[in-house]
Amino acid sequence: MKFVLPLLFLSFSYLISSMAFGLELGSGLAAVDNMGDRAQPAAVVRVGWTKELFSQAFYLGQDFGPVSERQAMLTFGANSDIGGLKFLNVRYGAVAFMQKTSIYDNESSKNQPNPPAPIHDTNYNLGGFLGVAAFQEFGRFKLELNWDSHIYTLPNQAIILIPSARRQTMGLTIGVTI
Amino acid sequence: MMSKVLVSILYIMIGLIASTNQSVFAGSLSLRTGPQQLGNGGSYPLFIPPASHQMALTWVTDSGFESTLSLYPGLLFGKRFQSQGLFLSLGGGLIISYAAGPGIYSTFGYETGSGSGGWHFTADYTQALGIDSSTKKYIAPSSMRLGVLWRY
Repeated sequence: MKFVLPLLFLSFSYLISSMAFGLELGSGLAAVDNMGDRAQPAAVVRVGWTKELFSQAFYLGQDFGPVSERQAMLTFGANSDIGGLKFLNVRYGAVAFMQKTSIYDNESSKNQPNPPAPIHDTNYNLGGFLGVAAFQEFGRFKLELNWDSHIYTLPNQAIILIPSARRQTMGLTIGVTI
Repeated sequence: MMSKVLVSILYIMIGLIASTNQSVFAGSLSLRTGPQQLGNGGSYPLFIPPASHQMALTWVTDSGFESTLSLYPGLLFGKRFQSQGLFLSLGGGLIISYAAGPGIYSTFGYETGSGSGGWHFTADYTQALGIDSSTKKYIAPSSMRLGVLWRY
């Protein structure tokens, strides 16, 4: 059994890599400004659907004592050449989505006879994004440094579309075309 | 003190444009307004003029050298790349947020029309990253602006 799973994994990897989907899969790390005085590390996953269209997801979080904060950002965007530059793209997103969850879980209250349940507070935001990316291709592999601003409107039941928050991200990803 | 420096730079820019031979220094001058975002990842103020808006004056030469005079995100100097109305600018300068220090910026924007001469509409978004000179912490202001552009 212990040989089966690695063999299955290798077979699946070979199958995926031998098929010409034209997709680019990438992952990496990013620094995100999250209302603090320093950037916060985040994990990035990127899917390039075509040369122009891509999706990108960021996941980050931090803990302050009893409060845990987790954020996920998912963007759908397009690359565009500009000024004849071969290593630089302008990026703009039609849709951006952010889910931010804050959990308040007081450990000290757990010793009480009836401890309160953790408080979950989740916000959803929609917006757009603009940015720039420098990249270099090595055959099927692509190294990309991107610098984007995700601009969000008011959260939840907002009717008026005005910018309410921004997350500036600077990410470094490595991708492979399958 | 800061306002005196900004006004002095504005006079220098206007003087340079007025004194140069237009056939050598064709370019554009744009005046835009819009909300700025200070701090890191925080909220924008409501953009209801005349409250909570700042002006920015940008001079672009025909070779693409760009100089921007604004209180936020600062005094910026860079290179503009343009194609079919869309433009991207990259450069550096004095980045100003709640603090100030050296840093880099990128601008993504659009302007109507092409060629030389006349008034046009322009809109842009600028993101900047800098290092606070005193605390050495990072600052990341940004701005969204729209306004008029004069090509000469």
